[in-house]
Amino acid sequence: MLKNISLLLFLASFYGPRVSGDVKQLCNTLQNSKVINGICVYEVKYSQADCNRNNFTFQSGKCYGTATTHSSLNVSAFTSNTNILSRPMNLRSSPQFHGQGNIVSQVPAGTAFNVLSRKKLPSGAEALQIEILSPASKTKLNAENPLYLWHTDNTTLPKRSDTEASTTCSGDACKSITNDTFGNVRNLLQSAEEVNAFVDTTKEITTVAPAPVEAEEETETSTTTSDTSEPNSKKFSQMTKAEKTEALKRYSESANVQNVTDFSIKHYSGKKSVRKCYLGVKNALSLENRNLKSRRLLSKENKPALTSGWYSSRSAYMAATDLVKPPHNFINLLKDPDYKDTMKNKRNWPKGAVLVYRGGRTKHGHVEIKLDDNPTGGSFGSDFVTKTPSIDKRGYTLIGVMVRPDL
Amino acid sequence: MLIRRGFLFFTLLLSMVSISLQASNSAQLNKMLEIEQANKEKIATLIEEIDVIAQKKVLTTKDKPQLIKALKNVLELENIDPSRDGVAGLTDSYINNKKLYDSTLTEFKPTEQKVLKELLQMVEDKEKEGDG
Repeated sequence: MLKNISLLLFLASFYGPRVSGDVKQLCNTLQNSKVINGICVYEVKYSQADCNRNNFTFQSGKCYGTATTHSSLNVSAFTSNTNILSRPMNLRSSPQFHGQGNIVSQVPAGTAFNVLSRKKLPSGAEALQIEILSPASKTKLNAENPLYLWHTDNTTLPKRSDTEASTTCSGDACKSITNDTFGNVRNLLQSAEEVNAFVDTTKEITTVAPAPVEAEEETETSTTTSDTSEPNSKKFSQMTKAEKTEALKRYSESANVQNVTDFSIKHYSGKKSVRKCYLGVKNALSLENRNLKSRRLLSKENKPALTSGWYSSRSAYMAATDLVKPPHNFINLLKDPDYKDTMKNKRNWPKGAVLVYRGGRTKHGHVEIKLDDNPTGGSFGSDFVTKTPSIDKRGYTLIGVMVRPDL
Repeated sequence: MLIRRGFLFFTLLLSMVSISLQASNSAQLNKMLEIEQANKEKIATLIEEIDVIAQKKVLTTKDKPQLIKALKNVLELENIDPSRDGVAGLTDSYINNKKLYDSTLTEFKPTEQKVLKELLQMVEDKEKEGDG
């Protein structure tokens, strides 16, 4: 507690004197908020579990976030442009709001963001290109620029929902901070320890019952088109067994697979895992060498690959759904009646197959590419190369043997 | 004529460098894979021993000997298992019991402490940022 108070005093002395006026204006625009020692403490409608998960602070049955302004920023650039989310939403890498292929992350209620640009969608809704200002744990996502949120305006589309998940903004939700003449809400002091120190003095903040966090679900489908077909899957299922065998042989022997396996060996042999297996696999499939930490593109091989380009996604196990979607058009052999049993045996995996697992040592699962045609062993590439496929390890469940039979 | 010969020589040199790089890559890969293959059972045993600690939510000082054993296993695995599955299993345990881990680390040599700290920091970071 003493440590928390010391930290508070340090932060308050650092921010308070310089920005207190701006913070008051910012805090006035947020409901259930109060300025304490130069920092705006505001309530977020979250359950305890969601509050902790999103790095807010849960105290006395309520969830709190903190905000302050930053004096060193260019003021005019952010005027009247800062928003606070009322509920969790999907953050996407492109202005397409169907499926999960381009979901970068979820942002929690209470997230502050700047709108960088707006794009009108055929439905009348808008794709907002944004920059995240808080929580601090999500600002790292700004490196994955561009980031998009789905949004409609109640005044122009009164019968529509104004969020991607069809819930209406209410209260302080999605409200533009128009009174914030100095601009922004950057540098939100997020950590739980900081807020703990404030909470004892925030008893007078109006109580609002924490709302349960619902799973996000895209419903904005009425006027925009969605291509979720899996053409290769349909074609493959209509083939005879002999044709299927031939298609798999073509895939394994294709230049695309050779290029991908060569890439994986070249970049990841002798390396140790940095828990970025999906990034390693995406790099290999697209022949784009991106830094495993920053994701910055370092080089690209101009040869036929297995995916048309690098794409943004989250956990490794999602490869089983990401790769079947256009434009990748992989098929999952575990879903084909002729292969669903045989493909559970690693000896039957074709070279170049992308193997997707749930479970294992982390919540993300695992993904790896079979790099050679050795039926008794072989090697497998992700962000490292190994002789031991994860199917041989305890806790991993194989959910995808992905190939492209159209090669 | 001289230019042509020079060009041919340069092309030959490039090919040799490329072949030698490929051979070096391939040799490196084979060496790593052989080590891993030879230690397959050992890797599984070391990870099982780590899991004894990984499965305990809250650790007390009584668990310290077992934690030391688990961290020794992590160091051993670092030389033979590129997947780093052993240390990945300790992610939650480390996050929930940092104080005990920190005090346990002092019982290792400074070089070992450095390796272990880096590995534990990596799995903690990747719990949020990693993808698999």
